[in-house]
Amino acid sequence: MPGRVENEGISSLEGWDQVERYWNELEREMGEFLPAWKFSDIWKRDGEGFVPGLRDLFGGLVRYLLAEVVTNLHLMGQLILLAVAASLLKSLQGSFGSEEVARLTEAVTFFVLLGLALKSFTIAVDIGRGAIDTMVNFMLALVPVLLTLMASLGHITSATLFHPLIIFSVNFMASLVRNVVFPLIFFATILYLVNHFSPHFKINRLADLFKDISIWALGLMLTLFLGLTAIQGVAGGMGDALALRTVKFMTGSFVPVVGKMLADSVDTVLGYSLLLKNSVTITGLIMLALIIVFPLLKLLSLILIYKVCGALIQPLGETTLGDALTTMGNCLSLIFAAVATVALSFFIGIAIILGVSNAAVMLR
Amino acid sequence: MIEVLGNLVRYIVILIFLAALLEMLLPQGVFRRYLRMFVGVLLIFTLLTPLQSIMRIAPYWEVPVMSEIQSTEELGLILQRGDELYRSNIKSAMDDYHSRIFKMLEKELAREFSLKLVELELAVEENPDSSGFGSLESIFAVAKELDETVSQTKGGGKVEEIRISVGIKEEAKSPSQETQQEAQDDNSTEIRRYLAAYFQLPSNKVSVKMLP
Repeated sequence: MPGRVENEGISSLEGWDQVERYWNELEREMGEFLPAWKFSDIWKRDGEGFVPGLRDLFGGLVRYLLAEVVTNLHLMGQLILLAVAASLLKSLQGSFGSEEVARLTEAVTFFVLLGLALKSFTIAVDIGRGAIDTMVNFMLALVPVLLTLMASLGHITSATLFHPLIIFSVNFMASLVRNVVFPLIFFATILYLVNHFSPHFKINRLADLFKDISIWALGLMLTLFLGLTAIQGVAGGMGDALALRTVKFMTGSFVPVVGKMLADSVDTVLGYSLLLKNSVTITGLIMLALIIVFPLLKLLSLILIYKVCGALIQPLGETTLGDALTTMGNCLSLIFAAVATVALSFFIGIAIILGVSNAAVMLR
Repeated sequence: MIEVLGNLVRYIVILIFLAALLEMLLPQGVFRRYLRMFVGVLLIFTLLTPLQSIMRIAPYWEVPVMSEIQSTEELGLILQRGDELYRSNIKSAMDDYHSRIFKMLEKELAREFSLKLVELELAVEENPDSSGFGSLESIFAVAKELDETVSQTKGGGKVEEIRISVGIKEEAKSPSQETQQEAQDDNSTEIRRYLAAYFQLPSNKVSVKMLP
């Protein structure tokens, strides 16, 4: 019975087709790495309480990561060739007429590295921006459905409080990360790389400043969003629970003989609605996780390439290039962290909405 | 502000590249030291110049996201849809309530009067915002004798229909009921008193009719 209620109830929800559209898009693009799921499989459970096909999903993710690493192997080849050439030129330094010629060759090598790094970084930022845009649009499709179900359970206060907060927070976080954090990370990366260029002109402290500002902005944004959402949730949940408890008490106490029957009937029906809402929420969480995991794995593959190259180049004795590559890997990690932070805040925000309704029903 | 920082970073990068190139071109010795000092001072000025422009525009910096906040119409639509679903849930609850009362009354009539409840119509306060939500206003039930059920299945026997009504509304007496009313008066009075006591309603709110 609950499975049938979920299937029929979820499909008939207004606005659910917008959410389902993201699943169809995900299936179209990443279908070979996902288990053979239908959309309704997401909220089913096997006997052990897990979503069926979870092992296949993890296997698919690992295959995707390896596929991305293989795709970026040409970049690794270019970087290693560059390092070997730089190392060779350095060892031939003594054969050149003057030291400046050797330094000029170093500069040329560095410019080539800078070109490759900027290209990779642009790709990484595009991946990050695309992931954040997709997450924001998904949230803007999912949240109205969740709040409608919340209102259908009688949680009017919570729905009214959450709606402006969630919409503002989602848009603000995306705007902050796209327009402030990513550019700051980009500037920091450029300054770090240029810092390696000359041994006499150092600007790594300025790069550190930009990096620190972006990290602080991310941390502050996450803390504020979660704090405000949690406070709104507690306030709204208590208000709804008290209001509904009063109704239940009056119905059960003042209608003679059959009052308790009515209270039980209302509880039964609202229990099914709560089950429906929880299914929708968990489906939303799983879909959000699937939307974000593939871009994160792409970024991870780029980070791995740069870190591995930095490690491989070190034995050649070419420390400048190795340090620059490791720095590049660290800066790409910042992009990864920014995207993951936005995803985490959305994730926890939805979980708070789930918890608020359940808490209101428990208090009832 | 980001454009200002972008320009700043561009100037710094160009300055460092030019300084490095110049350093290569200059001969070894004191000139390189002077160059480094000069480039250092130039870097400081390069860093400070955009700061003062940031200070100037800071009070007028707008977060573009403020214009992206949805209007309250969307919230109104969400609450309206939620209310419709809520009403639909209440209706389902009322249907469940009706079936529970049916089962309860069926057991009571079978146990006390050996009657089988065939049909039950309830008029209930269905507005969840009302203080009397769920209160029974009237009940109309159709029942027949339990021991006549067997003979009914054999194709014979008369069905004795009993009409029970509770509430303000007065039941219209059909001609067929009037003809049997005298004979079934005692029985109907007993049932009426029983139901009035059971649902905690005044006797004048209860009327029972037994049909032939």
